[in-house]
Amino acid sequence: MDIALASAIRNCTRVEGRNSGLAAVPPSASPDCAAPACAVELIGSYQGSGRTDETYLARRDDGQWVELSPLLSLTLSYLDGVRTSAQVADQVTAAWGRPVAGEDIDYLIDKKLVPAGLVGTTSGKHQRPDLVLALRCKKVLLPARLVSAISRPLRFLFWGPIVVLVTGLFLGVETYAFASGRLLAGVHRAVDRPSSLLLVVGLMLCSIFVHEMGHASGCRYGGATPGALGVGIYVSTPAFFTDLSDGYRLGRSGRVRGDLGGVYFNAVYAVALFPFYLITGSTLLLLVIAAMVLEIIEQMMPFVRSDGYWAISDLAGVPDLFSYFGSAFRRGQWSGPRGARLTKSSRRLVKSWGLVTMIVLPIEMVVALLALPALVMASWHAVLGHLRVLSHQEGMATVATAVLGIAFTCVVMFAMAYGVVYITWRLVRLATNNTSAPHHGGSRGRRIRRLARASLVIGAISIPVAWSAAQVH
Amino acid sequence: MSMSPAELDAQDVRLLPERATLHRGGGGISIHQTAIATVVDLGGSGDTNVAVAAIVNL
Repeated sequence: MDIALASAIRNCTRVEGRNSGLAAVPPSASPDCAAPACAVELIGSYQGSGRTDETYLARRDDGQWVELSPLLSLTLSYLDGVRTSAQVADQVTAAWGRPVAGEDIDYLIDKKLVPAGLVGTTSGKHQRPDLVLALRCKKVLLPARLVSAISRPLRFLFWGPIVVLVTGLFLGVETYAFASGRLLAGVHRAVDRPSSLLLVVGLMLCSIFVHEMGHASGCRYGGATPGALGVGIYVSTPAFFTDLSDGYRLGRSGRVRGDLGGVYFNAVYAVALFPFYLITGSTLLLLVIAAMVLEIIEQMMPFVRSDGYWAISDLAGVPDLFSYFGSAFRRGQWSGPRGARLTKSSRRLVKSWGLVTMIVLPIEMVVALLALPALVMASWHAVLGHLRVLSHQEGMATVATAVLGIAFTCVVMFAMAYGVVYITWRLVRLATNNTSAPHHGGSRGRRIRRLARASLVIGAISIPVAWSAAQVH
Repeated sequence: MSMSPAELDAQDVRLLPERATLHRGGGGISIHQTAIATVVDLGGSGDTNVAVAAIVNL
């Protein structure tokens, strides 16, 4: 892309920025003149993208980020509800350096910008991406302004010398924790006394909050504004999250800093707890300090959308690694969804991630399935135990404990069964969508494909479960 | 039209995923935990309850 075009888009972005985003359609606007949806903001070029062609970013009024080709971005920047398509075409032609007709502009608006929710009214529901293994049923716990207020003073922790100091201290503290031989005492103390267990659970919950603030502070250090902190359902279990979507406006290093800010703050938390351990000598604190290593390891797993996944995604400059999953193993000239071409280094990284994920995730699934019969048996015995308590003892507290125990066991087993079926279904759908040839055959073909997918899912789940159940029996 | 239909159709517009950094809240089951707990269990403890306890985060 030439410099003049980039400059034209940047200039338009600045103008719209001064006017609080692209304005709504003015009262005198002609119905034939397209206008961007209210408050659509053109951000500029997508920095650190792994694609060989340059792309641009826009943000919708509902917070959805959209990646656009230069021509679409340029077109969007000239739409104001007053100019006709022919006038917009003239402007685009001048900036782009290639002839564009009014009909071309109409086509781009109707087929590209309107479906993406970037042009037209803001009423009604916009299109949202259907993501594999994404967080659902999200609820805000801490609004964006509070997250910003808390994270702003913590930015200094991302200053280079402090990062080096904290990392060194963390390594020292963890070496001491694991070499001290006192961790087992901490485990026993936590299990033996309910009050001790409560303290450990409380400190671990604090670590989650600190972790999320690490993401927010890292994002803010780079110049982006973190969103709300909340809780949602990830596959079938509750998960906390921080919305770092504004990080798309940052460069590659800024986005990776936001991704790794969470685990870095786990290290900060461990270092901050250590003086309290030295003062009190409490093995419970040592246990929590050691647990931060496990937290960091789990968070850095890149196979589901945890911190490790986002770090690899940002290093590769690919916002949705799963959409490249099937493409990574195609023969011939390599290209992602809709023919997106990646640079050599991004391609290597995405292929490596795809290969490791393709091996590890199914293995983990099989291991989980093999464990399922034993878990069901253990849960069933737990339920029977609670029922025996209910039938032989009286008292409100006993009954409540037993009922809660049964309910908890049932919820946990349901969550696991649902999670296994859901992940298997999505993986099968992902594999069959990305690797098969274009679909033909109409409704009959669709029915056959669904049947084939359902058979694959049933087979993938039932074979290891049946084998394991036979072993347990 | 000045541009060909193929050229117009090639103009890419893509909805980006929300960047929600996840942290599991516990009280449930993660695949990783299940795998780790089961491997630990198979590694010689012989007590399935170890795996169960780890998985439900008790």
